[in-house]
Amino acid sequence: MNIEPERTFSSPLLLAKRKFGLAKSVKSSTKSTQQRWIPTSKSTNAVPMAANPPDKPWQRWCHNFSFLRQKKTAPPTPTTTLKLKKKADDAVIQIPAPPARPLHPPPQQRPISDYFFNHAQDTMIYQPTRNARPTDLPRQRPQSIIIEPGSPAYSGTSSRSSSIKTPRCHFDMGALDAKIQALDSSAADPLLRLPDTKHKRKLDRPSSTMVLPLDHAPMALPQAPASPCPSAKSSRTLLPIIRSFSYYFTPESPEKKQSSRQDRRFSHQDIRSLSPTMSAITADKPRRSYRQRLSSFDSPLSMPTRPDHLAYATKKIMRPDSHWQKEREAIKAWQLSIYLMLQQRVRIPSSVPKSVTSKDHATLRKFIINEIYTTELSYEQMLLRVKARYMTPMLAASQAKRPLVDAGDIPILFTHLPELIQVSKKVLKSVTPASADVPWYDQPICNLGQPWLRLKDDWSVFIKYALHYQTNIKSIRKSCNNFFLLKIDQECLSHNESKRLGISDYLISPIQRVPRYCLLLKDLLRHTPVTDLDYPALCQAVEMMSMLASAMNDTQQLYRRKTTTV
Amino acid sequence: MRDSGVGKTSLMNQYVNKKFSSAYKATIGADFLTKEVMVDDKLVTMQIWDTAGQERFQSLGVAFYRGADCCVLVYDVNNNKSYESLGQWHDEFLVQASPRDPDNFPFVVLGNKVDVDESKRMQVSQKRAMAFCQAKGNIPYFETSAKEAINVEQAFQTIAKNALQQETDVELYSDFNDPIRIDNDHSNKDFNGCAC
Repeated sequence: MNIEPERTFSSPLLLAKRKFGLAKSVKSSTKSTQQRWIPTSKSTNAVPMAANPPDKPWQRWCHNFSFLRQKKTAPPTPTTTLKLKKKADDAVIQIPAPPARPLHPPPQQRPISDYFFNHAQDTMIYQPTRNARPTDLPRQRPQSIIIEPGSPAYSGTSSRSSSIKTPRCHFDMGALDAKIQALDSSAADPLLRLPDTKHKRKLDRPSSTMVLPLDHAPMALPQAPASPCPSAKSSRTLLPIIRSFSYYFTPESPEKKQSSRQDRRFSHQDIRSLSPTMSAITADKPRRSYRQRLSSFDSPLSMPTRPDHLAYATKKIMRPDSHWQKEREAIKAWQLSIYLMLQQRVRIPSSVPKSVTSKDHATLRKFIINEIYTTELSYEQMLLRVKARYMTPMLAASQAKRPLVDAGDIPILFTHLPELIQVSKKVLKSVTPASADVPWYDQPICNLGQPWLRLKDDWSVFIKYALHYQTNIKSIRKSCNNFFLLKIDQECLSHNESKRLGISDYLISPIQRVPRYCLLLKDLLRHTPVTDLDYPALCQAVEMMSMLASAMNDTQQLYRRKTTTV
Repeated sequence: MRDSGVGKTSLMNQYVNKKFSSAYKATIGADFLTKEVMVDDKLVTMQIWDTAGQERFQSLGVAFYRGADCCVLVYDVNNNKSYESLGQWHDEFLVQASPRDPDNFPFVVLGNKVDVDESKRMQVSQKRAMAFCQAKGNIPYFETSAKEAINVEQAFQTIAKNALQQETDVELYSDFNDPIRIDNDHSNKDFNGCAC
């Protein structure tokens, strides 16, 4: 209602008149010129017209109609109504969690004045009154929050505070359970009682979409296990409770501080990945500032002294890829083609280049294998250097109290780095010469084909990386402007030790590496005699690498075409 | 198959290592080679990048072209096809690298393998190449031979000079210089301005 009782009452004249019982008339007359008075359901009792509410449909229509006719003459707005209305507002404010805006209000509660009877056309007109909308109620709380995979809330990268921090406090489910029940039984107000399990089904939805009812939170309580160590699955259903528990009692509850802190700390993924052992481990460990460990450029290497923490942070931060589905499709396609390729028989060509003698062939093979080894070594060392110089310091810096690095930048830059390093190590293992002391031309020729084919599941990381690079190119460039990163970069570029390679070189190196594998293996194949045992496998390896390169190419092009058409 | 085999890697190798290996392309695996050059009394570290097979895969080069300070287009004078795709490479580089000033971005065109005997040689005449370079805005053109080390030194000197000039136009003394890349079709060169 737009009556603005405060302003009206503040007038001394009005106050005086009201004192002497004149306010009624004054009030109604002032209002009559400006405003149409439409009785709402709340004030129905107080309005004289609605004193004996019509109960039959036709009576209602007439009632409304008569009201319409009356509205210009003397709308009944006694002060008592205002007071009542005001009181109603106050009452609403005091309720901590009102059923403020029911999604589907029951039809009988709809104010009757929404309907008007049009005599000229003999029809009913539905004209919702403005007052029926609870615009003047206190700010609404959301009924539910839907967290979908891919949204920042889901991946936990939106805010630093919730995303990176390891949950350190042990959450006692049994105690919480008891507390909620006690509160429930003691609550005199029906609104504070636990509502029915109307939203239960929403909670049981598959995990891809979680619906967290905020104001009806404890409704899922019956499902909560009473044991202090909830299983991983039940902890997921418990999350809404924990969340809304803190929210529900925030206004008055003495636990406000504690529970809100928990609320902040427990993000969605936290709870999900929070096994009892994990919480037990992290609960007892005291806080430690990583800042202290980061005094100089070289020191962050000490970071992994807490492997549990680092592993947790890495696991949690490093996979926010929203393109996971596209990525999965690409990998699937690639694996399928690899599978088909491996099914086929290798066609062995009958002709061999005869320009070089077999002895030369052997030397060249050794040379190429050595080439693969050395370049792989330098590639791996570059990745390791990036991990040590860039990723670890930045990860640590993003976890500091006042982070110099936005936690969201790290996955964008380094998501696939650990995996790339793993792959590189495996490759290196297969080409490492047996004895390091002997020069390459004296080494025995090692077979590369089989080990290469054995890595077939690992190559998909390159596809992932290519897709990631293509889709996030803008974010990558933005992240590269981080001051902390630039500082490291400058230092690296000016050091000979790092071969003057910077972050931009790192970013393209995996993409460059794959066509190089192609060339090297192709060369190796050319100099491998057809009779060699390794020949068929090497053929397939070459095929696989060129397929990998074209797969990377295709995923990138596919994505680019899509973006351009959109 | 497009323009591989025109001798990019050999050129690079010849310039940096003063070696030519006909039997095997050494340093396929090397991402790039560095060489320090004196240009106008300034010591410049040139980073020459080799596309090494990436030219086959169009989109894999994207990452690579960015940040280049000069682009070297190499074709094989004995291979008409490689010459014809020069224009395509030129445009593609500009699209993918999206340099700040596409019109004045330094290119250098090298016609490689001029050492091959006269009889088979010169499918692509010098005239045509010059005409192409004129049309694209006075691109310097060199006929080189990685095998015989003909013109290689001069070509790369010009590359360094042009790249440096470009850099001067933009910001010579900035702390963070992007690497210059020479693509082999596009080779890249790169220098780091001394951070003083």
